Amino acid sequence: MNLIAGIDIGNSSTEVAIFRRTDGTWSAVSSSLYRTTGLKGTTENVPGIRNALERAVEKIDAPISELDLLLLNEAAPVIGDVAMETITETVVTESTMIGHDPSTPGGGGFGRGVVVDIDTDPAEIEAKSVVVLIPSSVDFASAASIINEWHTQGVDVQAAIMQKDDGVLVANRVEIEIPIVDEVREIDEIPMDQPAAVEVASSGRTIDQLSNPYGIATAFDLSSSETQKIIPVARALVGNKSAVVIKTPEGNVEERAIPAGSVRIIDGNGNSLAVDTDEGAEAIMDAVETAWPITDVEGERGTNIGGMLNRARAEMAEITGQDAESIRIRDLLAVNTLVPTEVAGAVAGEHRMEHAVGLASMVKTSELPMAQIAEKLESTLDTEVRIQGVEASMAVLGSLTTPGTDVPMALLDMGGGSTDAAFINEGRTVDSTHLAGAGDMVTMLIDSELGLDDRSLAERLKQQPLAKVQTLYSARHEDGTVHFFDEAVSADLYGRVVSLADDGSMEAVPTDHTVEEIRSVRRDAKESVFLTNARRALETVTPSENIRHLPFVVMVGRSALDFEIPEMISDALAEYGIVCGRGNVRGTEGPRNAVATGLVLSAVGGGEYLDFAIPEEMAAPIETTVGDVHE
Amino acid sequence: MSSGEESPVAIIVSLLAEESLLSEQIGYGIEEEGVPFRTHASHEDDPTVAAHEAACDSALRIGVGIMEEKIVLHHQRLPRNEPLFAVVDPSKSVARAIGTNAARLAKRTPLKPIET
Repeated sequence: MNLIAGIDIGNSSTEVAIFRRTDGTWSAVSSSLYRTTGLKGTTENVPGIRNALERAVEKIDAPISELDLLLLNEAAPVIGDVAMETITETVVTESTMIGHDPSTPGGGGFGRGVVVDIDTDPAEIEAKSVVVLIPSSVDFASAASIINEWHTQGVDVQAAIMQKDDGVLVANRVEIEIPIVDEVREIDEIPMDQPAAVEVASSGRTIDQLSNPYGIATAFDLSSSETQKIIPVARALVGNKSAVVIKTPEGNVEERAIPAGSVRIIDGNGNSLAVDTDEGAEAIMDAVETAWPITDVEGERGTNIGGMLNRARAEMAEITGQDAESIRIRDLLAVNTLVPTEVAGAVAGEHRMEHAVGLASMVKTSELPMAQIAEKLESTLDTEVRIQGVEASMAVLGSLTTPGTDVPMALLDMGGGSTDAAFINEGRTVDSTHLAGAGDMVTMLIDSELGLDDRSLAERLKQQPLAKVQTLYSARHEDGTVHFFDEAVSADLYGRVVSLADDGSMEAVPTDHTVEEIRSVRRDAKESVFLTNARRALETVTPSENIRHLPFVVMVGRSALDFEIPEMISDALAEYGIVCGRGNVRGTEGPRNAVATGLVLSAVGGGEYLDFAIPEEMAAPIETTVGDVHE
Repeated sequence: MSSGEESPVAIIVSLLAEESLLSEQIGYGIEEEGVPFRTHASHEDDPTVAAHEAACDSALRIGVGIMEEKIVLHHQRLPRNEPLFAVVDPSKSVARAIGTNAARLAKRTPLKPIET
């Protein structure tokens, strides 16, 4: 036997390591990576395995048939899923408009008066002061001359609200200095004959009257109890360059909590702890910690969380052929977040940041039907297939080939669906854990917090650093450095925030967010998921439950390839005096290929990579040993 | 009108023909964005050359060339024969969008998409 392949089937990719024996020593000769076909742990994985193997043998000019032995791992039967539950909402009843921020409003200052249409006969205007409404049917030149005529006739025109993007054009043609808010799409929704206030800030400033509750109270002569009710309006307008507030007789803006259902967390003794989702992430995580190790979680029917938990159970049931009722949720990660939500009843498409709770769950069963995959693979390729070891142990073995590591060591495997950790002690026994929340949860948080509603865009913003195209020939990176181009950028990138792919190519971010906003959301999402989980995971696997006692932490997995997650975790763990860094399997593979490499090492006794004898229970194929994965 | 006749910092619009509906729309587009511009008559016969010359004369390095049925938006640092936009027979709204983009080029904000 001279050529062996280790195969690691992950949720998103299948990795292969090929070792060859020359002069009695085993060394790695090829590795590869291919997209996993089908759900991890099902026979649908076989085509993906075959593709990964073909890629790997191609590099050493050998046919697949030359492989003497294929090694699979007893994959951790873990599935993660994510959901979002909004817990506050803002409702505008009647048609109180709460502000609007067009790119180029006209004029400046503050005005208040009664709303009148520009078609009105000025002789019939009874109000002392007016705010003129200009629909798109009236062009800016006519609108300006009508306002000028009204002014001459003694009508006190205080402000204008218009449908088209012509605010500056009107302002430049009227004889009086008034604020003009434009680009109000649903101008028909604005009620006539009601008092309104309009404010446009001067250049470089933001509004200060309508973003102040007492400013609104002054404009509409409100009582103290009425002033309390308009606080959400004022808060929504903070930071705007322009705004309109209209008071209708029954108009009201309300900020209220929506019942988001509850989760019941069940501990090892069968006791359950119920938490209302609207109490926020801290309350949920406190309950998880109190009940740890948890044996199941139940979500209320009809809520997003309930739906997510059922989905995770159903998916696991499908893979394992077990009854969905018997599948247990083993971990929950909750994170507080803000979600931009369109205000119900508003007329210019305004958004408010509403509070929400993002959740990730993790299900785990006793084992995946790996034997079926092994059988199918054996018959497809006509090569001996063996289930060599448990995923966590194999990952530890592979990670120990990272130069500069030694036992005892902790492994942090950061994937898409779950964050896994394993610990190997001086006696070379391995303990492991799986936690809910990883890369997919970061994507969800970025998606919802930036209001993208586009997972692939969110994924791109998670993975790629940003830049702002400043001139036709230059862009400023998010770290402040400026990059110059040989050729002019295309018109669709000009002035835009762009994401930078690994090859340096730029793609526009199709939103109005600044580089700073996106960067801050991205980093917060990564920290709230991965820093929290790194601590939780390491505390669970460290024998003393004290992270300080860990000398080495090696990070592997898809999210360890991220351009900033590993350094965030290294920074956070540095205060404990731990050596923590991204793994470099076999000194060449980076944080990839740990499990595939570990599989072969366990079968061949370390090869040229490990300077210790692999304990019997880790070296023997799985059929004759009992998996030591800790529940 | 704030066509910025006196301002030394301005987009320069070069008219290869009489003032028209198109040149008016270009002006409105620039004006709504709040950027100064000035127009002058040109004797060139190629709007691209005229636009690039205008861009070279402009302190903002941005020039527009307008013929009866063609509009060109140019930047001084672009190669002379590679303008940013060159539109034949534009509608009123496209002409206005070219004006908007001339101004946004000066303000370094994202441009409006132009269907050509």
